[in-house]
Amino acid sequence: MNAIEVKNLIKYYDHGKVKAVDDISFEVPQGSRFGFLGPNGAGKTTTIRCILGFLNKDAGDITILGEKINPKKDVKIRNRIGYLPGELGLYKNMTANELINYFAKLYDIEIDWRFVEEVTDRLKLDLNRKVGVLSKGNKQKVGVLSTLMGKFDVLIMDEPTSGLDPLMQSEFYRIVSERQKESNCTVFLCSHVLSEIEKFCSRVAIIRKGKIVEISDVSDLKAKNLKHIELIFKTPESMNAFKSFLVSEYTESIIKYEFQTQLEFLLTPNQTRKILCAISEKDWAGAPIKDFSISHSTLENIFLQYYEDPKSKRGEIA
Amino acid sequence: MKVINIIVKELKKDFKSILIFTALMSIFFMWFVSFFDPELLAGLEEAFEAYPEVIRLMVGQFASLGEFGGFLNIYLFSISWFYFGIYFILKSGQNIPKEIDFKTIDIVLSKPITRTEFTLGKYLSFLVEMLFIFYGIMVSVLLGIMIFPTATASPIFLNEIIFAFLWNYIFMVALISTGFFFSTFLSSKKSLAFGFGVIIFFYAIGQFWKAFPEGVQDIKRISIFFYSDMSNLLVNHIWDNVGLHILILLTYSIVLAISAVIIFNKRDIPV
Repeated sequence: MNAIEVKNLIKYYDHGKVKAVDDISFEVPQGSRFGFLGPNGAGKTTTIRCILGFLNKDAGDITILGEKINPKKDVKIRNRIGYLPGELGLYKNMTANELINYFAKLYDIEIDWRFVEEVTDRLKLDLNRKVGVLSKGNKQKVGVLSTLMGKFDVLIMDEPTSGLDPLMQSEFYRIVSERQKESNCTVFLCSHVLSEIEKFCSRVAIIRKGKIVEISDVSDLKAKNLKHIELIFKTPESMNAFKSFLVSEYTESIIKYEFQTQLEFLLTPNQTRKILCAISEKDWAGAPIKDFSISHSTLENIFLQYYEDPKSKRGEIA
Repeated sequence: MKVINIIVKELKKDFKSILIFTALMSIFFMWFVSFFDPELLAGLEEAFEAYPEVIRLMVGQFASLGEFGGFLNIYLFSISWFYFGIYFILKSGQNIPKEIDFKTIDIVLSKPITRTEFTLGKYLSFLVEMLFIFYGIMVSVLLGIMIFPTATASPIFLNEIIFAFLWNYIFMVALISTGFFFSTFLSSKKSLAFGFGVIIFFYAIGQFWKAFPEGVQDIKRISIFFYSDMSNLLVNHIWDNVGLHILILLTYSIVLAISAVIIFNKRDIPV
C-alpha cells in the first residue's frame, strides 16, 4: 500500500495566472523514506499544503493510506499524520509543555507520553520555558516533538533540522529512524540539505517549476548519473597531457577542479568504463598517475543537473 | 470538544488582560454610580438642552439624566461600543490574520480539527470574554446601587437595567461578529480597516439618522446602532420592539458568524 498517492495535482495561484503545481503525480510507499527536493518556488510547499488541505487543489486526487480524501474535509486522517512545517509558528506566550498538551487535545488518539518524555530528554529540551524565549533551535525541537508525539503512520516534515546543531541533527535522524523501525511509519522529507536526503531517504522526487522531473531510488539516481573521478599525477606536465587527452577524446566530460597535479572530473558511467580501459592501455598507467579514485556523483551534482536551465550547457556547473 | 479546547486556549492567553480590564471597568462604573445625583444631573440636563441638535444626537441626547436608567443609558450603554467595542473589534479583527502571519495556523490545522471548529472556537472565545466583562460590570453597577444611597434617590427598575445589560451584550456580539467576519478573509490591516469602517458607518447612520431628510431616514434600519438604542426602555420604560431589535441583532451576528465560517472553509491558507 502507498502511504501517499498524488495523481495529476494542479494548483494555480493569482486566480489562475500562476501555475504553482503542474499536473504532478507520485507515490510514497508505506514505510519508505521519501525525499522531496526542489529549488525555492518549485512547488514543494504548495504540494504539501494541498496534501494537508491548507490549499484548495484545482485538479487531481490525493490518497492517504489507501483512502482517497478531500484533505480539507476528511480531517480524521490527520490522526495518522505528523506534520512539521517549514516555517514553524508556535504560540509564544505558552510554555512548550502547555503547547504540547494543547496539540495533544486536538488529536483523537492516545498520545505516547512516555515517548514524548524520552524525546524531550534526548533533544535536551526544557518544556517549562515559554516558547517566546526559546532559541530557534529549541523552537524547532518543540516542533519536532509535536510531530513525533503520536504513533503516526505518516510523518511529513519540511526542513526538519533547520536551526538544529549537527549533534541534534544526528539525534533527530536517530529518533526518526527508531520510530520508523518501531512503527513502520512513512517519512516524507522535504529538505534543501541534500546530504541529509542522501543519507536518510531511499527514494526521491525532484520538482522543478511545478513539475516532477525525476522520481527514483536515491541509489539508482546516483548510479545512472555522473561518476566523480579524481586523479593525482606525479608532475603538472603529466596532468596537463592527460587533460588534453580527456578534452579531445571525451567531449562530454566535465572538469570540476584542476590544480597543479590534481584533476577532478565527471563522466557518464559508460564513459567511465572506457576511460578506465584507456588509462590501463595508454601511457598513463603506472608512473604518471600517483593516486586514483572513482566515486558516485553526490546528490548535489544530480540536483544541479536537474535544476539547471535546460538551455545552459552542462559544463557550466563545473 | 475541540471547539472547547480552542476556547480554553484563547481564554488562557487573554486571561490576565481580560481580568485587569474587567476589574478596571468594574471599578470605573461603580465610581460612576457613586456620583449619580438626580438633582445635579437634572440641572445638567437643562444646560445640555442648549447644545446644538447634532452634538446632542452624538452623545445620546442626554435624555432624562436625572433618572438612574437614563444616566446609565447615556454614560454606559450608548457609548459601550467605545469602551469595549473598539477593543473587541481590534481583537476579533486581528486574531485569525495573526495566526496566518505568524504561521501558527499551520501546525494547528495539521491536527484533526476542522476549520469550522477552529473558527467557531475563536469566535466563541470572544463572546465568553465579553460576557465575563459584562457580568463583572453588571455586578459592580448592582453593587453600586446597593452601596451608594444617591443611586436610589430616583426609582430603580432593576429588571430593565439587567435586561439592558443583556441587550447591550448582544449588541457587542454584533460588533465582534463584524470584526471577526472580515478577519476570516482579509489581512490584518485590511480586516481592521473594513471592521472599523463598517462600524463607523453604522454609528453615523444610527446616531444621525434624525438629521437626514425625511425621505431617507429609513436608512437607519441598516445600522446595528439603531437596534441598540435602549433609551425607550430605560427612560420611558417601554418594551415595544425590544424583542424585535434583539432578534435583528442576533440574526445579524448569526449570519455574519456563519458567513465567516463558510468563507474561512473555502479560502486558501497562504504560505
